[in-house]
Amino acid sequence: MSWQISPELANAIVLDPEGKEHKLGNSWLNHPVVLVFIRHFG
Amino acid sequence: MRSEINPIRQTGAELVIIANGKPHHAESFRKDLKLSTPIFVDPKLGTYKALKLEHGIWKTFKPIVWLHAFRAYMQGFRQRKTTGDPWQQGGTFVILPNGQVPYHYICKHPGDHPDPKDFLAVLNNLAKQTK
Repeated sequence: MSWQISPELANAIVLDPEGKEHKLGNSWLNHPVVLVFIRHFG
Repeated sequence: MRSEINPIRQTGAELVIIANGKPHHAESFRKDLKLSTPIFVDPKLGTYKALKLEHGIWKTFKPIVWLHAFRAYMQGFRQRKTTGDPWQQGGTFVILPNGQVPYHYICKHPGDHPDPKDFLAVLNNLAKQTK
């Protein structure tokens, strides 16, 4: 069953490898994404 | 997950990775695995909390975790130095441009991962519907 992403998540700020801030919701503005949350780098 | 990048892109979607370390950890991870996909970090875990992903020491040290670790070791995977919160678990979500989530998988413990066939089936169905 499909559900809707929360504004809290869409507006969340994440950092790229250079430390630059990005609004996470921009990732799926133009196409579907498979958003994978990994436990840790290791 | 690296082997799923092309099948995901063939459906018109993109793989986006979030982790909980620091930005420089992400850069090392991307270089080591030669990843061409967007990768971000959320050191404060706000996104993990928003999606109610599992967290806690007893989620990490379940007996089945040792079995998964042994299997991974036998397949050639080696655990490197852990960065970020070691008690945080992961998850996988397919998110559409309208914000709908037609697929999600919440990892219950280390070594608990979704079968890529499941989210690829969802993406392939979506791609057929939009043709």
